[in-house]
Amino acid sequence: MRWTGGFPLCIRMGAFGIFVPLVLLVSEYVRAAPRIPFSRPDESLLRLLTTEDITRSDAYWAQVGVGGTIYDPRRDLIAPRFSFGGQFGRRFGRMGVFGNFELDRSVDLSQEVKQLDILHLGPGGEMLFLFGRLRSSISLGLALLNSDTDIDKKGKIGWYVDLRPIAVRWSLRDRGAIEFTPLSIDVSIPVTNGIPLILFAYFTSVSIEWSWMELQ
Amino acid sequence: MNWRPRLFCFVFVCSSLLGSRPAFSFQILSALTDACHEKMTLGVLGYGPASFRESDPSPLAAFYSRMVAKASAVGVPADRASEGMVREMENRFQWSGLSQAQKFVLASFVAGVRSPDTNGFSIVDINHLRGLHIRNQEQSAHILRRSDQDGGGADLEAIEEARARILNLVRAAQTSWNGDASLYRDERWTFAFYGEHTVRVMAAAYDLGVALHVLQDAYAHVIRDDQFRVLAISNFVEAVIGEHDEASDGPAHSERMDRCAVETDDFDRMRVDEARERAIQFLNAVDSTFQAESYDETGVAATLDPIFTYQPGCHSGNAYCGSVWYQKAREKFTGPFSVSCGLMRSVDDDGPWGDGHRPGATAAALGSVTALVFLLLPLLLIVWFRSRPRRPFSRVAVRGVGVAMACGLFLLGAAETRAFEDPTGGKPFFPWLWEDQFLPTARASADTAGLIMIVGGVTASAASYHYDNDVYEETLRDPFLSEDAEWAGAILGSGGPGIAIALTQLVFDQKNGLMHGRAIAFTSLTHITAAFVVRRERPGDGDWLSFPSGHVSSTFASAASLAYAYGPWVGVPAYAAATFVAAARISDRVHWLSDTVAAAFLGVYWARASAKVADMAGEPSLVTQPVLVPGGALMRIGFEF
Repeated sequence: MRWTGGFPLCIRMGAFGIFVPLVLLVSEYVRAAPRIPFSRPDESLLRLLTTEDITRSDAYWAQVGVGGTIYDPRRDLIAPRFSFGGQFGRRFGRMGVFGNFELDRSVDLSQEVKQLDILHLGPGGEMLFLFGRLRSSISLGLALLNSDTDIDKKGKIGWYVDLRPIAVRWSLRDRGAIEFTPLSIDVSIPVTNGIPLILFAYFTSVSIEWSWMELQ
Repeated sequence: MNWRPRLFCFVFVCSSLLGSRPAFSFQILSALTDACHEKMTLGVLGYGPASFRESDPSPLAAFYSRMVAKASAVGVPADRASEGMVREMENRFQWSGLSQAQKFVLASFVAGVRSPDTNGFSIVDINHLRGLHIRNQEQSAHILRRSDQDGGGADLEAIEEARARILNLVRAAQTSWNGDASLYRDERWTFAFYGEHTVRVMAAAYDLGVALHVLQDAYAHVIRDDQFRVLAISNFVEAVIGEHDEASDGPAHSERMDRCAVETDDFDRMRVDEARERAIQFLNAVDSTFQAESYDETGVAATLDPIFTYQPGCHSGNAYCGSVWYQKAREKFTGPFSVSCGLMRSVDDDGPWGDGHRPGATAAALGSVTALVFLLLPLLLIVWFRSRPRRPFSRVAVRGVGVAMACGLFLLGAAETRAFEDPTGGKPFFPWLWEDQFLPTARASADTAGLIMIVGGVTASAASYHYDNDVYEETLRDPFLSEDAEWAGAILGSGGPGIAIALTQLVFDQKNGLMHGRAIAFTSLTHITAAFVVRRERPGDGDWLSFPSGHVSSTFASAASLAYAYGPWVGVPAYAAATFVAAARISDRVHWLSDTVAAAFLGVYWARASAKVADMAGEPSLVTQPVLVPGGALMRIGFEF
């Protein structure tokens, strides 16, 4: 199969899942600019942007989040996927480690509507930068097939990788944070032998974090 | 904030991609459609739902048993993929109490009857399916007219092609059945979640499944009279590309005729029953051929005669002789595809339309324009109803006068030289605009250099954003340009001079003129869209279209295009002029600093993409260069694009 027409994959993907909500989000903040009093910058806006460190170093934290996509770039077709999960970890300065648990539900429309559940369980590492406003993380571990398929029975175990290059974070009161990941790469291979079951997707996700440390 | 109009835009774009669908003949199973072909095929063999079967046992029981016996004797394929395919169909069609060989033969028939509609791919691989369904050479697989089969005689041509296809398939099935070729064959099958894999099928059953598809379609794509004689053959290709003329192309493909609601619709039941009777006669004749010592297709061909008996004299002018079939077909003719035609993926080296026929581009271009209008309209309405102060007339006038001057210059130049070459090279305008100008530029923009420029532009804009207020306060205290200079900058960046230069280039230097024109067009399109989406208020009194600056973006697009075309001797002054325009806009307090920074990147971004299409931009590269300075040396690191 080769490409002879159409936009590059990243453009199509962006149009589907990333670009429009991102533009809407950015436009909200840019539009706020002229409302800044000229002599006294709006504190809430500055707090939102760069001046305050929200890393909350050297503390435990927990996070729950949801994510989704409607496009399978590997097979180039509409294939909704949703994930719901949580992370629990400890931050040491700008770095941290965490455990990841996630339920991943895929929907296939190839013929009738079918659903497939996969559980992800594994450790991960993170790095925060730009005053804790941005976060990169990677998690890898076991992927457990939790549904029967036409080829395999549930219970098969493979592996997964969840790479989140950049997530944007906002402080939420003293202990909380909201994290928006515009684009993460999720590779899940719960069946590795015979006919491998490979799921590849670019996820967009939102998480809420609670820290054991108050914002100073 | 009112999210509803924006949500509408988003939903519209997504639904135009999701909602448009390929057309089938009788439907095949998908998330939205019934498994008509599959049920009809299984019904013929005695295993479909009761409403699709004739009697129990099936008249073809002996034929089916012989196939099962042969599969048992040779051994049913036991690889995981083939077993998976059989298991999938077993679950779907509830084959209980059947042996593995019985299920395998049925699965081979079903795989065959699905294949003309999917080619083994997923039903939601819409781009692929469109490519498959719109190829002229595949129309006979569904007994449809090709796009070049027009007027009188076209129906008979289509009939003959369908007959020939069926007989070829029977010949292939007989060859594999009698051992001249392998009894089993590899075919493609799509598994839910796993994607496409190769499976083993019984070749004879698979080929006969494909032949049954044609035969069944003869009751979905054909207008008949009450004696089942053929009056007209439908046309799919031209219906979906929006170039259908019923008088010459025949009736359009009808989605109404795809249905097989045998339990609720008498017309559908009548068609399905007739198709089943003919299929049973056909397969009985095939069975006789299989058992004969030498191949003789006379009996098979005879069973096709009542299916393809043609009654001349019926046409659109007499409503196909008042046929009920035509009245039913009219209930839901298939219409043109939507915007995502432009995103079509090829299925073979000839391109999706085959034989060099690419008529879908017109529909795609118009579809895109329509989508754009729908996208922009709510945004325009938002701005309109917000009742913000609108752009003063004088600035509109400046831009209008500039453009008018440009058009005048162009016409003058064209008239003077009398040597203006048509840049389309004789190609229809919209396909030329879409395929040769729009798509290549959009593709060229999305490379590594483009990405780096976007990142650089966003970073620079974000950095300058924090100086917006400082710069604005400075202009309040002491504007750094005189009022005359600000006006000069406004006129220079109005778009008029840039368009004038581009049009003049079109006459005297067409390649660079096109490059310049593409850059301006894309820059304007992006700038207008961004301005209406972002809606940033201007620093002084004015509207909410501050970000990014249209004057600056178009001037930088022109400057970069001229630099690519004629080198630094033209480029440097052009960039200086563009920078002057940016300064004038800030001094005039109609733009924030960050508006102009973002606009400069925007203009250069599209100019580079356009230059790349014209082969004027080199490959992007990281440049390191030693620079001698008094007292030592420095290393310059830069990015050239």
